[in-house]
Amino acid sequence: MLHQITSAALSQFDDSQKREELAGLVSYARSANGSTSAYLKSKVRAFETRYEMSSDALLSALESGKQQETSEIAEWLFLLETLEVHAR
Amino acid sequence: MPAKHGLNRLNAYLQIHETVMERQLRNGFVVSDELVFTPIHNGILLEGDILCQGTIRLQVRKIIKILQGEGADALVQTVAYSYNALLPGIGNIFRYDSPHATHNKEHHVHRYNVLNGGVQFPIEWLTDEEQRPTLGEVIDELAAWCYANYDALAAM
Repeated sequence: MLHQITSAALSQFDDSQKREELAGLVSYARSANGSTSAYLKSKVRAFETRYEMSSDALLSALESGKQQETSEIAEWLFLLETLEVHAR
Repeated sequence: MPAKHGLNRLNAYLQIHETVMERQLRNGFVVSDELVFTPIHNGILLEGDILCQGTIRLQVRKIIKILQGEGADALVQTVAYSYNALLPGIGNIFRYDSPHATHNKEHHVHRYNVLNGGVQFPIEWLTDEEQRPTLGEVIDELAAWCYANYDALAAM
């Protein structure tokens, strides 16, 4: 299960609870978790489906200047960057 | 003096984030904080929207890398970000991005003439660390833009 917490929820906690939640986030982050990969990959797939283009093709098109960077493309790119960081 | 975007303890990072959001919620420009923290491998993804006055939406994406340590005192640093401000259904106002691997390989900002057809101005390169805004500075810039264009926004 994906472990997530909202900024708004965190702000309601007392200091001790916040430290506990942050420790939980770090602990999950230290144990590379398959559900995070699935979450990120599903978001990438949604872009690939919508644009009928693979992420590799997107990167090539951006590099060659054939594809302009829009806000949606920037979001897609950020997901790819996040997946890359996640995989390290 | 510590670097503007340097290392920080996760707990201290959160305190700064909360102070920024509380100030913006209190002064009324920010209407709702819908950001979510998601753990990724050795890092935390902060993503979601900040809803603002004038139906303005700020889409936030940050990768906060955990560099050392455990628990709330782990040392962290932002390694990638994208702050996209927009008027839904109309267009983008601006977007700050960290470098991309394939193009626009320096920190940069895209600005758009959103109230006059949405034409994009030339990209501005943020070569100095001081030019790269924090989330709080981005919200301040957006609030200033909103108030400067209040009449045009109200007439939409």
